[in-house]
Amino acid sequence: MPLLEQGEPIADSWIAIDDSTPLPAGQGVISLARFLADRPNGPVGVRIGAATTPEQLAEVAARAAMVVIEFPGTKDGRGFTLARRLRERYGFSGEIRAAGHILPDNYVFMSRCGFTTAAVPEGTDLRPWKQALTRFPKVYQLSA
Amino acid sequence: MNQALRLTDLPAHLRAGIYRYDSTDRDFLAARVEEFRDQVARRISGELTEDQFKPIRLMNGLYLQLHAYMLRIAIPYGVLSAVQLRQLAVLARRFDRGYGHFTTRQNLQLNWIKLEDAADALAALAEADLHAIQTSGNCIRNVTTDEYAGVARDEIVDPRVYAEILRQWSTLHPEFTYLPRKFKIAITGSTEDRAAVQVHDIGLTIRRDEAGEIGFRVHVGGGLGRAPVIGSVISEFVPEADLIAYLEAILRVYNAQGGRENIHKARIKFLVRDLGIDGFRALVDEEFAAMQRERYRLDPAHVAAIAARFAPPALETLADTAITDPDPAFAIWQAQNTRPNRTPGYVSVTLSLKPVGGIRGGMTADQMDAVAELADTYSLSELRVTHIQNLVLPHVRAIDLPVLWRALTALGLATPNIGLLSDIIACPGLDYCSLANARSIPVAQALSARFADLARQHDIGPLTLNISGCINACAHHHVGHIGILGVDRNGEEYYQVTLGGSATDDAALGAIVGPSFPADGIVDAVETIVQTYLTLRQDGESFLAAYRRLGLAPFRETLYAAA
Amino acid sequence: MSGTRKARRAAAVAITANRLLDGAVVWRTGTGDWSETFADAAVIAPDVLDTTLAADPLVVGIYAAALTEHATPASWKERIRAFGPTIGQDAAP
Ligand code: SF4
Repeated sequence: MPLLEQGEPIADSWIAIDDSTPLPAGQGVISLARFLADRPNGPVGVRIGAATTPEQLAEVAARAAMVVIEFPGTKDGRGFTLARRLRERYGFSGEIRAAGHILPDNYVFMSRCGFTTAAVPEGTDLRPWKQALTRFPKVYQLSA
Repeated sequence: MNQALRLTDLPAHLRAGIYRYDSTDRDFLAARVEEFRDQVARRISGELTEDQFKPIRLMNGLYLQLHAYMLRIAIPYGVLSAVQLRQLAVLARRFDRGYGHFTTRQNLQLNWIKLEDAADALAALAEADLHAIQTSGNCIRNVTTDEYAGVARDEIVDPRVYAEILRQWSTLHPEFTYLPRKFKIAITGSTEDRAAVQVHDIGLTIRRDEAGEIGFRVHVGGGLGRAPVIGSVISEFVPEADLIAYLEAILRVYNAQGGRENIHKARIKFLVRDLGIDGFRALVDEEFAAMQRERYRLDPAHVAAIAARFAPPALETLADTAITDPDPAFAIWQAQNTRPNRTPGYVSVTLSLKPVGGIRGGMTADQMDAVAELADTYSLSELRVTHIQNLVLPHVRAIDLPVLWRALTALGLATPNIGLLSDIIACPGLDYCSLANARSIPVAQALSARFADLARQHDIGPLTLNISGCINACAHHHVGHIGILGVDRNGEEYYQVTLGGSATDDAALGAIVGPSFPADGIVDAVETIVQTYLTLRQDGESFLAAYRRLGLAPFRETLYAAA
Repeated sequence: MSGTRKARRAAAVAITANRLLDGAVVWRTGTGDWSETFADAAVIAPDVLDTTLAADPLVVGIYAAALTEHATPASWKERIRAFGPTIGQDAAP
C-alpha cells in the first residue's frame, strides 16, 4: 500500500501485526484491543477505529509512537475529530496515519486535523492527492 | 459571458450593509469552483462512482431531483445585493428555465441544472461573490438570521456580524464536514425572535450581560423533520470571545458521538435526547475545558473588522411622517407589507412572492431584474430574503412608498398578505423533490385562490400556514399555526393537518388534528378550521390565541362531524 | 430502491433512471437505449426484473417503476417524473 506524506509517496517503516502474531523487534502496528490489554513497551503503533473513546485516546497518546486511524466509510467524519483530539487535547506529536475509506478530496481536511500520512490503495492515481494540497491558498479556520 | 459588476466597483453610497468579499474570499471561491470542475470530470469519466461523488456534489449544493439536478444557492444570512440578484437572473436564464424558488432557509433553488453546466454555473455565481457551498450534505449549512437585521427597531446587536463570522468558520471546516447529519444554525439579535432559534440544531440569541458585554444564549437540539423538538438551553451566556470554542466543543461531541447507524436518528437532537440536556452539557463542558481556548478566542479586532463591513449605510436625516395616497389600496398594503426601521423616515418593505394562485417563493428572471432595479433606486441596492419565502427592501424612504407601491403592483409583488393566511410557506414538494410524498405547491395555489378575498383574510388576521411535501419539513409545517404535511397512501396523496404550532418566542409544535385528508379534501378542511375559529373566537383573539384557549376538540368536531 | 420492491407486485413495470449528464428522467426502450419520452419505454413483466437492472454508466439510480394495467405510471411520483411538474411551470427556455 502506497504511503503518502505531503502528497509524495514515502517508504513505510511500520509493519501491520495481527493479534495472533508476536510483536517483532522493529516497528509494529497492533490493534487497540491488544495495545490496551498488553500495554507493550517500546515504540509501537496502534490501529484505532472511528468509535475510539476519549479515555482510550488518552492512553494511546501517552504511550504509542504512531497511530493509524481507520475511516470506516468516506462519509464518516469521526476520524477527523480523533486526530484533532490526539493533537490538541492529548498533545500527541507522533505520526498520525489516515487509512481505510479515504478520498483525495478530503486530504486537506486530514492534514489540517493533524494527520501526517495517508495509506492509499495499490494503484491509486496520485495526481489528485498532490493537487489537493495546493488547491486552496488560504483557509478560514485554525488547523491542528 | 455576462460580466457581473463587482461589489467593490460600486460607489460607496451604493454599498449598503453588505459583507464585501476581500481577496481571501474570492481566491477561495475560485479555487473551490475549479476543484468542483475536476470532480465533475472525474465523475463523468467514471473515476468517481455515484456513491463517492454524491457527498461531493451535495457539499456544492447540487442535488439530483426528480427531473434534473437542482442547485441550491446560498444567500448567506439572507442578505443580497441588487448586483447579486441580477446575477441570479443571469443564471436562471442561462442554466435554467428562467425562474427560481426562494426557500425557508434563505436560499434560492434552480430546478433544471445540468451536471455538465454545474461548474460553469458556480463560476458565474462566484462572479457576484455567491456560492452554493454547504447548502447540502452532512455539514454546517447556511447560517440563517432575522430578515430585518441591521434595521429592526428592537435589535440589540446586529446578528449579521456573527452570522458572517460563523459563515467563515463553518466553510470547509476540516473537522466538521462529515458530520452524522446536516447541521443548521440560526442567530437572532432582537427581542423578538424572527429566526426561529428554538427549532435549529443550534440557536443563538445575542444578549448583553450587566456589564454590557456581548454574549450568546445557546439552544441546542431543536429541529423539525421526524421527531420534531424544541431546543434546550445548554448555556445562558457564552461570552463573545468563547463563541467559536464553545461551538467547536458542541460539534466535536456531536461528531464523535452522534448516531451514524440510522439516518433517521442522526441529528443532534437525538443525541441530546438520549444523553439528556444535562448529560450532553457535561460532555460539552468537559471538551470545552480541555480545549486550548486562547487559540480559539474570537479576537475583538476581528469582530470589529467584520462589523465595519456591515457599517450602516449613509442615510438621510428624515422624520417619521404619515404617508398617504388617494388610492385606498395603498393604505392596506402599507399597513400589511411595510414596517418602520429604527432610522426615522425609513421603512422595510416586504415584497410578496405569494400572489393568488402563484408559486410560493417563485420568481422569474425578469422579476429579479426589475426588483434589482427597484433596490438600486429605493433601497441602497440591498435586499433580504426572508424565511417566509419573500423578499425585503430594507432601506426605503417612507416618502417613496407610493411610487414604489405602484411599481411593485405592476410587477405582481404587492399582494398585501404578509403574515396573513395566503402568505403560505410551501416546499417544492412532489412537483420537483425526489423525497416528496405529495405535492405542496398546488395545495398552496388552491388555498390562496380559495382565500383570495383580502378583506376576508384581514378579518381572519395573523395566521401562518405551512405545507411540507414530506416529513423532512422543509416548510416547517410543525410550527405553522396550521401545518399541512403530505403523506403517501399507496401512491395517492394525503395531507395530515396540525394546529397550534409557532416558530417565534413562544415556540410550539402543532398537534395532529386527526386522520389525514385526501388531496381533494384538504382545501375544504382548512376552510372548516378557519370557519370554526371565526365562529368561536372572542374579541380580537388571533387564531393561535383561540386555539390555545380552545384546544383541538372543537376543530376535530367540525372537521370530522360529517364523516 | 423501494420503488423496485413495490414494482414486483405491479401489473407491469418500466425501467427508469436519471441521465448522469443532465439529470433528465429517462426510460429504457425495447432496444436497451434510454429515451426521455415515457411512450418509448419498454413495458415489461415484473418477474424478469432481476436480470434487467444492471448498472449503466450513463445513468444514475436505475429502478423499476410500477405501471398500471394500462401501462401508465402507477403513482403520482412516477406520473410527475414522466410528464413534468403540474404547476404550470415547466417550460423549456
Ligand atoms: S419537505 Fe420533503 S418534499 Fe418538501 S422539499 Fe423538503 S424533502 Fe422535499
